[in-house]
Amino acid sequence: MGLIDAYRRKYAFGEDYGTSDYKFGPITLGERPEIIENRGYMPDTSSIMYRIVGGEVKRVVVGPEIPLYLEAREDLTERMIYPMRNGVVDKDDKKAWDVIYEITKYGLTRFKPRDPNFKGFYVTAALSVIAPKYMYEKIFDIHERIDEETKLVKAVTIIPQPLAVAIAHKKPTCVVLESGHGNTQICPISRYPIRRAIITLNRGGGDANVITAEILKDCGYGDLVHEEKLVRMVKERIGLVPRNLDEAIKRARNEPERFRAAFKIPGTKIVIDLGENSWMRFLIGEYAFNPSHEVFESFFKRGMPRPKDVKIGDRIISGMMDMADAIIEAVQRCPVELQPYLYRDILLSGGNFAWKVPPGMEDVAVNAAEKIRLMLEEKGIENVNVILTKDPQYSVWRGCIVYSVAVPDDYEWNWDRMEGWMKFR
Amino acid sequence: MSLHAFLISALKEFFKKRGYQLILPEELKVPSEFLNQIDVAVRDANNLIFVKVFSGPPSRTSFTNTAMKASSLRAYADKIYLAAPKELRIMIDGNVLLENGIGLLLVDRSGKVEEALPPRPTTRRAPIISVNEVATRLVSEVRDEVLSVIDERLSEIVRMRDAITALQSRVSELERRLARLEREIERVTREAPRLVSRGITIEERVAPISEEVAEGLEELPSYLRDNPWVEILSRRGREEK
Ligand SMILES: Nc1ncnc2c1ncn2[C@@H]1O[C@H](COP(=O)(O)OP(=O)(O)OP(=O)(O)O)[C@@H](O)[C@H]1O
Ligand SMILES: [Mg+2]
Repeated sequence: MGLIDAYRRKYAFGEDYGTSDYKFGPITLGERPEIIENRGYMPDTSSIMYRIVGGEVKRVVVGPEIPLYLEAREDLTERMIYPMRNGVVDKDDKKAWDVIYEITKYGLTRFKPRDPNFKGFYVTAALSVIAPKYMYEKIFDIHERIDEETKLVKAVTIIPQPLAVAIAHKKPTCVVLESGHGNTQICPISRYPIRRAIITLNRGGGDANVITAEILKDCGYGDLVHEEKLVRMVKERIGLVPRNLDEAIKRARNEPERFRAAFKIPGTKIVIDLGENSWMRFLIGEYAFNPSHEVFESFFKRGMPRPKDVKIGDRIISGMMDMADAIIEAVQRCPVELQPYLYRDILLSGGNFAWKVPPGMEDVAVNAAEKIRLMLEEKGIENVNVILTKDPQYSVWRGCIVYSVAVPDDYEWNWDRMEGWMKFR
Repeated sequence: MSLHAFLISALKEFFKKRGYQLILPEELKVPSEFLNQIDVAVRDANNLIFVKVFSGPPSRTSFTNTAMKASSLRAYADKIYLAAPKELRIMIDGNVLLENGIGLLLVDRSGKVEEALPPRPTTRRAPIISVNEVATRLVSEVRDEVLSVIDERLSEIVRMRDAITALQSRVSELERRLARLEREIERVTREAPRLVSRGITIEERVAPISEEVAEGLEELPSYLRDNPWVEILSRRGREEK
């Protein structure tokens, strides 16, 4: 192992811009980043209070302070800005970029050291692989502005999230699946991301929420589905990934008590109980991996939106493609001699792979790694090593830290190669 | 539902059960800047009662501020209450309430409301009632007019301020762009001769990866320990692809 610069051993900084959460912090945090929701609240600037205090009151509030500013108002949803859709911020969405600026600044200033020798952090930011070039430019601009205001950024660079995952897991050659709230990126890596082989599916934890909401409606909890947070909680608590969907449904119908999905929402009096429909909990997990299973047709017919297709270059990738097909498709775009090595290590990262297997259900429910292995096996791809990352929500940040520590200080940012350090002073 | 909204709905329930009549803020003849301060307004026979909700942040200062705001409503109501979640009881300064004649309602987690301190009736009605209705209306109309003019001016100022901020940020963005371009040009000029010579001489750069060895390697986070990427990445920019 190489030598590690003592300065960066203290002042390497990682930033993972996820659709639902922003994970950030310096290397000194150790194993886990800090997490805030990727959102900002814009207080009512026309209120008398705001006008009197003028510039003192914040225009965009982020992080744990948000609840202090919330008012019981109708326009809450307009004032709460979620800047990203599927990992991407629209180029001209000024409010969204203001939020990104605020969360970035919040993250950096939170860890401002007192050390007189501190000259700024080495920041590695991670964006979705499909982030367009303007996002790189904006993220650089934002860091430059923050550095002007605070002197907290010595150098900054940007890497794609899957590369960060491979780095965090010490695998120079592998396929990374990063599945967060908004989308799923499948990225073969051999020291560099193999860009022409990347597949993104327009599908992630958010889609599992969509089908969870449908199921809640079917079971008489239609009034709850407007609270996205609540639906997400229900999904995470009762959703199961079946070893084999048809088999799981059969068993759950025969033994309804054993598979009963019931739980009380913490802090409320609401109890959700799917009762004899408890077999539906398997639909939630299956949908994340294979929405093209025929059972979902009836949902689509009733108006549930299908995951959208994505266009990469001139190719269109169906949002309905199952995860195994997507892996195979990506690997086949790589040099033939590399392919067996790629299958050797398949890394699963991102919250949408965090599905749990409750004790006593191991015969029917599986975790994400086992599901992918089974799906690949069914398609004739065997001997693959599917690794479920231990803390899937933190991997990207960890990879960022390694990157910040290791890339030579004098390697300047290069737009052709999309790597190196961008410096502002 | 936010805490604030929860408190308000519990309070409305409480007053409704007691046969008080809920009043919409629009129905009140109260200057608009005070309207924001009123969370619940009810009528009990001829008495007008206002409630101001205290939902945090949980500090004594913030409580006192809220109480002062509530007290500013005295001119317009017969009774004033401050309502707070029961958990915040310890933040409450009873003297402030007593001195200002403000009543206290505590709301517990289940939404149950109790009157912990009754309010002292205010005297606001006497003068207003004795003044001729027309005069009152005139006064309030004039005031509304003045306020609306001020309001307009303020909006204008806010709009101008926003426009200036937007311009400022546009300018500094352009400045940054320019600075970056200059740096890029400088870099290219600097590297050009080297790039040209690269075709003929293969320059072996064996620069050390870093200047210092970190003390205490064992403290490294797990993902940095024995990670082959550290080696790979530390050669970036020093190899030809
Ligand atoms: N135990 C769990 N079971 C199922 N899903 C989970 C679990 N824990 C988290 N998730 C889901 O993972 C998603 C969040 O994952 P993650 O934090 O990786 O996303 P993100 O980085 O914010 O978004 P993205 O990577 O798409 O930009 C949410 O949809 C969440 O519901
Ligand atoms: Mg993510």
